[in-house]
Amino acid sequence: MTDRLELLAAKSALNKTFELEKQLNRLMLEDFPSKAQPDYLRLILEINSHVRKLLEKVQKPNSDAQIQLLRRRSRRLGQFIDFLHYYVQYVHESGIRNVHWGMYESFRELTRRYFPHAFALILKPQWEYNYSYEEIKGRLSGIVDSIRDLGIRAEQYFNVPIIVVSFPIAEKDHILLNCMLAHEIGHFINATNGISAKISFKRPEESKINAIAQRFPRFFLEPGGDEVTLAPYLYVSQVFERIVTLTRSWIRELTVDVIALRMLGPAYFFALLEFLSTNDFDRHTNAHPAPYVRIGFLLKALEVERYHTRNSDLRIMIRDLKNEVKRLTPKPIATPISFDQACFQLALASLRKVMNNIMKQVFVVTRNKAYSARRFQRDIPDLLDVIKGFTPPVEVPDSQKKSAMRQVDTVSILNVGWLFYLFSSDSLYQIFNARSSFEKSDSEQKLNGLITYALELQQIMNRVDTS
Amino acid sequence: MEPREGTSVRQDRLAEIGVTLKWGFLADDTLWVLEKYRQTHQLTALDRSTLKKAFLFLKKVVEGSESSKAAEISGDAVDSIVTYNQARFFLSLSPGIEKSADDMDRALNELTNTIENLIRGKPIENGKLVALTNFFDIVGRSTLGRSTELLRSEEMYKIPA
Repeated sequence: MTDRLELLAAKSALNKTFELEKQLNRLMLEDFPSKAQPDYLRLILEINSHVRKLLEKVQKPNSDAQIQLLRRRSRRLGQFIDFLHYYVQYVHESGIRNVHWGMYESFRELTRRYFPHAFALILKPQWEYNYSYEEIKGRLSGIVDSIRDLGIRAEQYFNVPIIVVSFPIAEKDHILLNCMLAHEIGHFINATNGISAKISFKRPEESKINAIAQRFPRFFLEPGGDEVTLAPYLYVSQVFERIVTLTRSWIRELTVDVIALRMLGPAYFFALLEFLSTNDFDRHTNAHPAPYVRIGFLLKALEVERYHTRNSDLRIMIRDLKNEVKRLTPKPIATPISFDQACFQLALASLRKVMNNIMKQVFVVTRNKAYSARRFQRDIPDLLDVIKGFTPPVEVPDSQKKSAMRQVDTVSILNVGWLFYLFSSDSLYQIFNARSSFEKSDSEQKLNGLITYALELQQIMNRVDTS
Repeated sequence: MEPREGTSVRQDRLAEIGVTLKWGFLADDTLWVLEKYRQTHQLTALDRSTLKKAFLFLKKVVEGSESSKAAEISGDAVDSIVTYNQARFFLSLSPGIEKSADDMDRALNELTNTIENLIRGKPIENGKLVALTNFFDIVGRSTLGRSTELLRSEEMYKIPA
């Protein structure tokens, strides 16, 4: 019976490979905004066919132990096919019907400024109201290389990084909020340059770790799901692990926030502010420090960059927000009431000590590539005049050549969109004679449409220039 | 389970499944080689390359043990600390292991040495082979249990807005 079960697991996994292949071939016929998707589908097809070959040659076991192992392995190979199936869903969602071409091309071009090598970018919507990033090459190649006898080596097939960036489907047409994509692309820039990985932080004090372990003992689960009681030092090491992983994640998030700010200037800051506006301002999560920490840190970075020096609206906004952050910053709690609260407090103390270093390291890596206050101050006043006539803000008069026009940077287009939305909304509403909240919201959507159109126009103009 | 229309897969869950599959395949293949060695006392070049991967995994565990004691921790070192803690947890569930922290570290070093000796073709005592087998067996079982749980669970999906 055991023998038959082992064969059944292999047969079931084998069938999954045929089903996945059909799915992949169907998807190949769809329209995508780039060739990254078909390339990626071919890659999955290749892995799938090698897994199938492996399942077709399941050996006859010659001991009980081998029977168990073969069954376990067949089940795991079947799970690997399930896992690939999930990744195919990414491609399915990234079709041209879901992603604006101009947005895709603009963010690909921005990524290329910081990573001038080959890469595949997949942008896709997701139902969760969040933005997220994943690099698939590392994940898939790690698994492929760990399977004995698969017959392929990851390096043969994974020669370029595959970046998958997701945005909330509800915000598909909201290009200004989608400046948040810079944060997700920032994760890729951070990973390829190893910026946050090199930042060291002080080990949390032993006495504080022990105190948390004693006050809030945690439970471990056996593989079967039963609770097990373990030696006390394992509880202490669990607290230690939690604090260092939290600190590492938070350092990474702040690093990526500064990268995104360097990439898009104030446009990223505005998008983050809007995105976080419905969150609890003082609530930390496992992945991110609380919004007051992130906003406070970026306000400092904006001042260092000197974006505010020649823009009075921005200067006033920064001053007011700084006061707000100060007001909302919670005082440290003497006796935390939960395990999470206690760990967050220690992680925050470690984070605060390295914040200046984070900014310094990002500035070093992004030097000569970042958008600058100088460009912002040069382009924005003229672009504001253009956009006030509800004309796509892609060109401004060239001060060097009389009666000639000069194309502006993608980042300037996004910034002028935000400045117009934030500080000249009355002009926007006037253009569309918008009075009710619905009409106002509709005119804001039209502004987003205008900016998306400007990005597309700019990409077309760039191609005409190049050709 | 087929992805359902109108839902998205949770990336953090996929990341976790990716790790469990990676370590799981490594554990399965190591066990396969150890079982073969137990029967024949012979290793092919492919067997050695499989054991080398298992050795690198254990080396990462030992690195994690050192990083856990350091005064300064870099972002780079955190993964090895996590691997070290997981390995200690697995080891604590293996039969016949003493439960003190020092004994646990000694046992992990012993496992690393055993696998290194196997790769070099040195003779291995049966007890050491059993300890190595027990360790990778618990890694294999735990990872399979976790990936099954994740792949079949509703947690894999995000709730539509």
